[in-house]
Amino acid sequence: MPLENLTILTDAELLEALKTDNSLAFDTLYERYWLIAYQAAFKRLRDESAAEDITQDIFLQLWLRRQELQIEYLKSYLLTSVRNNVLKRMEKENRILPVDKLLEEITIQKGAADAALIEKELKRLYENVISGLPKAQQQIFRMRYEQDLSTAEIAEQLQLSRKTVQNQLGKSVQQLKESLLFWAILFFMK
Amino acid sequence: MDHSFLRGLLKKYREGNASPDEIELLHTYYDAFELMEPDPTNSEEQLNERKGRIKYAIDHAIAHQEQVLPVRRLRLRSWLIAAGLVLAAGSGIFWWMQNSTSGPKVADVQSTPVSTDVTPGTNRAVLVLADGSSLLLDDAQKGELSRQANAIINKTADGQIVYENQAANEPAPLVYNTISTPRAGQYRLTLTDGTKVWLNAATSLQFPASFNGKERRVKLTGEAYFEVAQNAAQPFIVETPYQTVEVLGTHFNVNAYKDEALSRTTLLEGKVKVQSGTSSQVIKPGQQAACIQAGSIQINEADTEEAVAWKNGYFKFNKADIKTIMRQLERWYDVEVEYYGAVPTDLFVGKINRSENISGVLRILELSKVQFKIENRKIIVGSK
Repeated sequence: MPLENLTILTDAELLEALKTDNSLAFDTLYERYWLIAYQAAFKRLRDESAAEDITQDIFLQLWLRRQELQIEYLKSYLLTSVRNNVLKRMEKENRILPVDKLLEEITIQKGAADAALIEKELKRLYENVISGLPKAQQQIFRMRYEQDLSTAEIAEQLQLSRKTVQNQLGKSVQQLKESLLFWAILFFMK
Repeated sequence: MDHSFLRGLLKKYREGNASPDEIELLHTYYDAFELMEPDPTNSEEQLNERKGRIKYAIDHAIAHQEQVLPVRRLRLRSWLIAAGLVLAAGSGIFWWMQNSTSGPKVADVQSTPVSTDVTPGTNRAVLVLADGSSLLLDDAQKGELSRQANAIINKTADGQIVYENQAANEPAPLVYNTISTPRAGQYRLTLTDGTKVWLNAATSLQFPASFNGKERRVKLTGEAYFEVAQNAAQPFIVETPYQTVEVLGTHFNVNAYKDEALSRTTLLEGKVKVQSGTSSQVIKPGQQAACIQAGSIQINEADTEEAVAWKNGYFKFNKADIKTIMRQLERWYDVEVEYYGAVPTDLFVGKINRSENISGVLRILELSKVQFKIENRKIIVGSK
């Protein structure tokens, strides 16, 4: 494949070339999409090196799995990969921005109208999730996460054992407690 | 919907236990961040640095995953900081190249401006005939230049030399011709058997004007790429100071410069046998045989594109250190290189068009921590 033509090739053509181990095609795709992937990760994690790691990882996977991957739209494939990686990292490294903080940030950066729209949508979806739970569990959930009561307080109010409350809240209460320690720690930095 | 609630969701999501509603909620939460500000560092220089750094890490990881030679792994590990630059492939990824060579920001960061310039090498060589007479090939006219043994030497319109076999009743005597390129020169040649040879700068090839006998034997110093015409009855042999390469019909590159620590044969197609001293090894396509001295052959997986980049009109560096790069520039631009202070340890990944003036190449390299000063034909290399 003549070098001169690589940049004018479409994603689909470059992906074909990738299957024949053409590293120049890979370089060209990297050139084309690295920044999109990087910024997508950065917006969520606000951390340069975490965003770099994710960008690195998704392109590495693109190369290593070049034979097996069936990609129709490269950009959406890459952005989905970024999302998977970011969500994993949010959990693993406890880089979770609570929704109220997120809305605050959006209000500052984009204005109240945008923030309100997002808030409405998130609320609706949250209700969907909660209403999908059995009644008893729903109540415990709301007390725990909306009224911010401790499991001991919930147990007392509902006349349940603390153990039951914990079970209802799901497996890893210990994990939740740990995460509460980070409640005050904003991972959002300037 | 606080932190710990989200954390619980993320865990379920990771474990594949999230319900469709929960997935939708998480995705919406994720999408909301789209409205956040992107990374504010966006100067061209910083972006290029970041782009190069990530790409370097990717290439490094690929090299590890796909197994590279132990020697190289060892060397790579000892380099802690690697400022990788992903450079443009000549006119290939040209937009980037143009941006990085002509952008005002790049020029701004150069503490030492490139004051004078050196133009790249051109097609030129000297052909020494059997009687000792020599022909200058840069401006020699088109058409028949000379006759040697049973061969007619022609210069074609596109500026290469072709040896053509002339019908003859008697076998030709074995007479040798030598073609030599100077620094900043390159040349192409077709031998009487149809074998095509590309000569890089500062290279010399001695070959019989007509091949007869059991083998086709040529002698090389410097670097050449061979596309050997198939002839199982008459093996083609390339002799260099430290290794001898025997082939039937293949495409391969031989790099045997005296100032390179290793003499390397890289195979693109077919099969070749590399001999060094008393040991010999057969290499497969994609492999490289490296000899430090006579008798030691090390087989490595090679970046074949890097090995023959010069023939295709560009430099390709795959984690090359500055000294390796500068040796190539010395030969192609006919310049002398001096190091001022500690030799920078950055590694470079990328491609640069060989038709650039030297300043174009140096400007791209200067995106790392290296800086250059040109004084006449001397390049001084230092750290920023």
